[in-house]
Amino acid sequence: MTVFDTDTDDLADLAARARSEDAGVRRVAMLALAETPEPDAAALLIAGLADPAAEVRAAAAQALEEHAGADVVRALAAALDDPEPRVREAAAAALADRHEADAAPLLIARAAAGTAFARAAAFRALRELAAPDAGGVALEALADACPDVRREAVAVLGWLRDESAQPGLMRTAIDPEPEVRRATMTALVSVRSGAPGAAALVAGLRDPDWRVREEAAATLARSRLPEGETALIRTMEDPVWQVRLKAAGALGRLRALAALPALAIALASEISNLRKESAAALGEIADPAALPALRTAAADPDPEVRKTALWAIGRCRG
Amino acid sequence: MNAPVTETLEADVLVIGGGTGGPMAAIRAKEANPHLRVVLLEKANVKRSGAISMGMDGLNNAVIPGYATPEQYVKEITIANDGIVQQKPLLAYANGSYDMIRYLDKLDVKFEKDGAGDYAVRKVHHMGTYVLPMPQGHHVKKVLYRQLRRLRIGVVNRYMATRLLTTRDGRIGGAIGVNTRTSEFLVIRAKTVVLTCGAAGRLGLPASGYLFGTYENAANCGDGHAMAYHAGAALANLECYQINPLIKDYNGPSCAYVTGPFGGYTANNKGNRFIECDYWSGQMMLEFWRELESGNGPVFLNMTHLAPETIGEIETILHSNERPSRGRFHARRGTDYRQRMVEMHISEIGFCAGHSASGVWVDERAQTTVPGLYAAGDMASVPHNYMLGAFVNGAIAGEEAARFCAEVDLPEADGAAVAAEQDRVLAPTRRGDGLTPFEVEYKTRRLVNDYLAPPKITAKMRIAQERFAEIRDDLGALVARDPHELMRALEVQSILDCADMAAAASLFRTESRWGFYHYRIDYPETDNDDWFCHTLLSRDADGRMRHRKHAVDPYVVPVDATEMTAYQKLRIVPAEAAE
Amino acid sequence: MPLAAHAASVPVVVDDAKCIAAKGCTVCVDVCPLDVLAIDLVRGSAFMKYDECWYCMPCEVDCPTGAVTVNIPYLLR
Ligand SMILES: Cc1cc2nc3c(=O)[nH]c(=O)nc-3n(C[C@H](O)[C@H](O)[C@H](O)COP(=O)(O)OP(=O)(O)OC[C@H]3O[C@@H](n4cnc5c(N)ncnc54)[C@H](O)[C@@H]3O)c2cc1C
Ligand code: SF4
Ligand code: SF4
Repeated sequence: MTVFDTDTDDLADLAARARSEDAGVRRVAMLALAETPEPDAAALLIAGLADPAAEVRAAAAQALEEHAGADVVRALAAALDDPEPRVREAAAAALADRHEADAAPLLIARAAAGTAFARAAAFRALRELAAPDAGGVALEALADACPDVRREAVAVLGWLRDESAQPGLMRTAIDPEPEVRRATMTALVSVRSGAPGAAALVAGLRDPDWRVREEAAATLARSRLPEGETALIRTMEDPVWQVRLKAAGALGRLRALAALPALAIALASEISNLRKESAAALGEIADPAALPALRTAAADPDPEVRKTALWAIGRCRG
Repeated sequence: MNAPVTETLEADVLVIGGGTGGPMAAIRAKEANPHLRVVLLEKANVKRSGAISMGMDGLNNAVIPGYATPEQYVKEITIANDGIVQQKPLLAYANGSYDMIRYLDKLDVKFEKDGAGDYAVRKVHHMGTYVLPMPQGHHVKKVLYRQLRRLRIGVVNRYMATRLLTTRDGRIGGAIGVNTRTSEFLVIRAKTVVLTCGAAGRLGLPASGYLFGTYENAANCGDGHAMAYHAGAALANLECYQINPLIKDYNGPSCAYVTGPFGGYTANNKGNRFIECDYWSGQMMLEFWRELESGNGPVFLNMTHLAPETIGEIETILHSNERPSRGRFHARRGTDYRQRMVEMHISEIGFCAGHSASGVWVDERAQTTVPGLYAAGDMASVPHNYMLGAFVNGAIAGEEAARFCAEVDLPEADGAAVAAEQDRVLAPTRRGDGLTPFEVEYKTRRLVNDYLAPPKITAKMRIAQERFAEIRDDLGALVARDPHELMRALEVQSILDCADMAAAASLFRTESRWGFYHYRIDYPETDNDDWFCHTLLSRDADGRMRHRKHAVDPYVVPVDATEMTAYQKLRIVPAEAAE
Repeated sequence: MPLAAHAASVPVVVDDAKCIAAKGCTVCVDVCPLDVLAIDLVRGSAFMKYDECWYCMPCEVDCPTGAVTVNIPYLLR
């Protein structure tokens, strides 16, 4: 008798249950094998991926999330082609959450060919590995017919921070799918001033979809590209306040003196979130010319706006 | 009478409580020395126990280079706690914060990253920036459990620790636990013990009246506080309660930390913001309570101004992490974030350092006042440590315990203490009729609400003490018909211990401090001359509750007077005169 | 004092048609932090035995067959 729950269940017993006639028993055995750290358990689960019953295969795929190793990755990558959607999805999820660098070559091969589902899942799994060798397939996939594949490939390139990928990302910045364009704006965060991708990011501020514009402004706030300044000031007239809010944040981080009039106007917006962000931006810029507008904001009915304006006034006074 | 079934175990490091800090303590003790026998004891099942049973949607207090410095963090927490902090443990936490994030990341905990893989820290206000979202944070427990298995740490589930064992010379000796399904005993002799039993979250009664509808995971009922107390450890500042803003009736977090960066905010019935305070603190809770009670009440979480796409994103996060049944609660009441503000309220009282500041007194090495006994997380005295603090301080506790093991021998179990504890535990099973745990718990917690919840009044707290004494006599009539009921009967005894401690600690500090947390109507002023100190509560040799003051250690991060007073000016003084 | 027999509605519902407890599954019982679920050996399915629920949902999320539904306890609704 043991009181320890982490002690392995009797593996022989589990193996017998994994081979039971009854699919229900096999399915429950797969669940238990998730918690058995031995390599033999992984082998039983890999065999389970070939079970005739879909629910057993799905349980096996899910359980393999708890196991590591090249065999496991290979088996899960193969399961991305399972005829049953829930098995494929479980396999994709189990592949996505691992940091096994030596899995990269296999995943790269998987990303290069096959169904759109499998390729998108392979790119998703590759993203966090940031394997330089993945750049080539990802670049090619930017022209893929499936938007999911394009989106995941864009994300892989973002994590690689590779400047040579920027021409490709300039194309996905005008992709027909808003989701792909938005992912492109996110991926352009490491672009440096003067690099080709910078123009694509700035152009994103004029995208027809507001969520793409919002993401472009948010990314510009992170990357602080000076070439964004003029376009960001123009964005302070965007019809969507959420976009104006992110633009205000970016202008603050850019310390954009030329933005003072636009930010002062935003201080009188009816949206209190935007008033607060504009006050914060004026505080970042810290120029005495903003004082009159900020003094008015210091009497704002919203306490968050008031407090931010007071802080900003302190900074503008130097 | 037959001797109860009893197993025994030996451990170098025994960790009690397998929620957040506990697994990390066990992992780090084992990593520090793989030869150690590390045992993790859990009342529920480590897979899904504790405050983060369903994961978490973000770090509230991440100190990440480029966004905040450890010194800035220590300063802000010092101000938020009216200066009554030990800065050394705070600094130890802040210094360990970033390494812990990277360690968790390596274990596959998912944090939000930007398009190039850097942490996407969110700015919440113009001071330090500490919020790191975890939109896929539902995996946290899975990751911890996987690491426990990989390191082959002995996990004992479904055993509730009931008392700690100490040696004759006052050192820790192990613990006694009882199986919650069979009532079998487990006696663990251990060189060191780490207590990570979470908050005392079943102290006040939720406004709904449902005993288990608490803000905290309802398994966290103050066992850890009670065990530490009975083992002679000191507990600090228990009068500084935990009270949180929450979704009315649902009693879960309204999640300003999640909705804030998306533009959601706390508003009064006019739809306007009203919170002046910059810090999550008793001061903020005082403002919240005043608004609730005013003509502007009740208070709401407002997201009606946000775009549908944004709300969709918020819903995905809120309805899959942390307290995922939120969505179901709203749906039943027809509350759609797009159209209606969400009614909020404040929680029942509890002890929780995670959100507030009170708990078992520890230093920067997570040591309690009992040699060999460590504590971390919501039950230890490091203020505002939240989830990341439970991890960092749990790690410190595990590593320190591993070190201490090398210096001591395995203590003998004190047979008489074990027998006495078995008697206490089993008493409710030896009665055919009497009082049910449910009744005794309901009454105790109802009295906590009636007499201990702030605003605190001396005469009421004295009445509470009298009534608690009566209930203590009633414990002799508790009856448990099965092991499950026995667990509840034991929990009631921890709850009563905590209620007594809350009353005694609140009476001791004759001033008001920490905003609403210790708002005493008959001592409305903050009295820095007499009370700029910690209060420590412990059990004396005769088994009585004793109090002492403990000076605030000199600051390692100076907070200049203007910063303190700038903040004081913003505040509402806790006095009737304020309005 | 003598004890009363007391009825209470419980918030967690198990769909017997989907539950595979008879095949050896105990997942929901294993994960519940309040230990309020149990297996009915006669019916071969899980059920909520005690009305002490934190409506936290591991039982529902971890159930392999989607047999569990967590409702909000009546007093809170
Ligand atoms: C609803 C909610 C939302 C939160 N949101 C956030 C957030 O967004 N961000 C953030 O950073 N923090 C958040 N927190 C705080 C954070 O989750 C906690 O501070 C942290 O998880 C506490 O860890 P712990 O190890 O101290 O306690 P827990 O993780 O609660 O673990 C305590 C464990 O002890 C066990 N136990 C209790 N008594 C016994 C006994 N007698 N014997 C054996 N075992 C016992 C319990 O079963 C439990 O598993 C939130 C907390 C709650 C409750
Ligand atoms: S987890 Fe689901 S299938 Fe398993 S016993 Fe519980 S209800 Fe039945
Ligand atoms: S919701 Fe939580 S407390 Fe309720 S039965 Fe499910 S796991 Fe247990």
